[in-house]
Amino acid sequence: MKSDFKFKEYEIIKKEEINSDIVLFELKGKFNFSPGQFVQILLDHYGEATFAPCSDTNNKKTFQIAVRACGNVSKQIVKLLPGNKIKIRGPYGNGWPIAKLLGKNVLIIAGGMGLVPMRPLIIEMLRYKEEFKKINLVSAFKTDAYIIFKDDLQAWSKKINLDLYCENVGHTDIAKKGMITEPLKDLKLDKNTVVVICGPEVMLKFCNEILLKKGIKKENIYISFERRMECGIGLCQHCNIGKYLVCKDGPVFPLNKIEKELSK
Amino acid sequence: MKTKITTHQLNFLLEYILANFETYGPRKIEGKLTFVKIDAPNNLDLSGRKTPLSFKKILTPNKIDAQEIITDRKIAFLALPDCDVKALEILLNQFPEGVRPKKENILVMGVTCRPDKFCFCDKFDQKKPFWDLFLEEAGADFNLYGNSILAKKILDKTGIKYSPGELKNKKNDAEIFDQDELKNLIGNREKNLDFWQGIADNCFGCGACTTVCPLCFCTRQEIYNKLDGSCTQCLNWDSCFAKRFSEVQNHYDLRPENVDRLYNWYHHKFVRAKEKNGDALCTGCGRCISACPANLNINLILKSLIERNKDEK
Repeated sequence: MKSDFKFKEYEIIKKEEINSDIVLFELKGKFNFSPGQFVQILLDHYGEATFAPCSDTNNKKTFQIAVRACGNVSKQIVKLLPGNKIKIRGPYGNGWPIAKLLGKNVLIIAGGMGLVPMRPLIIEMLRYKEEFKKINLVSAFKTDAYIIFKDDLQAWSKKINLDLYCENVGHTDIAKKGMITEPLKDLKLDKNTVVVICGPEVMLKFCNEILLKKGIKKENIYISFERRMECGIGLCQHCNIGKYLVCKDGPVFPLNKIEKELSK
Repeated sequence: MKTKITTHQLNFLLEYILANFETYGPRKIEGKLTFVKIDAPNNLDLSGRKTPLSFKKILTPNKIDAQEIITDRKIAFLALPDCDVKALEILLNQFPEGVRPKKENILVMGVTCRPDKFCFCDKFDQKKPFWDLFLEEAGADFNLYGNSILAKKILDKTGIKYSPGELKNKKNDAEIFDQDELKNLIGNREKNLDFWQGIADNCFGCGACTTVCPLCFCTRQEIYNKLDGSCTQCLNWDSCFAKRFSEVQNHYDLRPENVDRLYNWYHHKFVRAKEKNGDALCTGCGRCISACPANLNINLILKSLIERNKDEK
């Protein structure tokens, strides 16, 4: 028997540069995943890194991966061109708990690249829009140059309530100026609203404070965590939050389950 | 029940094992005991003393090619002391099938252990024996105990009578650590913040303990480039005391201080592993104590943690 580190090769068919840092790759082939799961990408000679597929889960011909150049591996991955191949293994982890969102008001909070694992979820939710009550999307970026999926956001804004904010607004008028917490403070939320959050670690604390003040239950706040992944299959022990392994038990945790472990 | 065998019979048994298994055990090389491959019966050291590195270096070797982890190896580990037999059982429980060798393919032979001054395995519960064969010195001869179908098969082949039996537990005068108590005490970090800080202030964070511990198995991936243009993806031993162990993008370290990493080590061993698989990742072999350059003693640390919280009650 051979090891679990089996990769499958996919060919890049389209590359879109969102800005100097962020690149969106479209890969040929069918990739089965559920929204919120992650994959490991191996780049020969450089190493492995963790990414989230961000396209429609129903697309049987292609799928997309957004890469931000900020580490040794991702800085090299963004240099790849259409025609090159990418080695992928996965998907790993448990995705967003879509069953728990059915029939409820849903608030989606995405900070920066946190919008990436949210995109398949939003697409899925819009497909079955009548199954959910009201959908709110709050998203914020550093500057408007960092806004990803601009076309999608504009299309979504017609169907759901979208609050788009940037810390520094440049030349566009699609985003308002402010931190992600600004729109959260003003939002009127029903107490049974289910919240899904993905974003940088610092953002989580401030968002949770506001949400809890508004009376939202801890078990209704789902957070997708980012941790260092070396294996994705529960071997390497790098990604633990307290007693949970993000790769096997997560990456999505309800706040009541993970809250106590965050300080460990 | 036991079978008395002579040295001659033992050699015959070992020859058989050597011929049918990849055999590893303690061997004295230039006066030093090391855990290596055994190729002749008289190379095996039956003294029951611990080797500085355990079976870990055979089961989860450093720099192993991630694509080449073979799980159907037939391995025999001979002359393991009690704590290592137990550690082997716990280690095999940690991994899902298909990642590490299966128990059915591993032959374990225990021997009467000879504790050194750092051993504190008597403070842990003695469980049902995990060994297949157990060897006990009895004057010039040996007593042999069997405990599995694999052992019976081997003994049948070598013409030695198989007598199933369990060893009588050694008399245990030491106070046993209450593992649930330890789990609760270590799990509550806020209550003992200054305690962990005090230990971390003395710890160099060198990771020697994680290297010698038979139950530390963190890995990190590294790519090795070859001259012919190809590369291999290897799993290297990692230490949770390493500074960038929990670093994510943009050099954001989730465990920036040594105390965070030290606490994580104890938390994994006594809380996370206990909850996940029912066993703490410590058998009291004392290797980390003898390896620590700062003279930190896990035995005393656990003891003082318990005592400190007793006072507060």
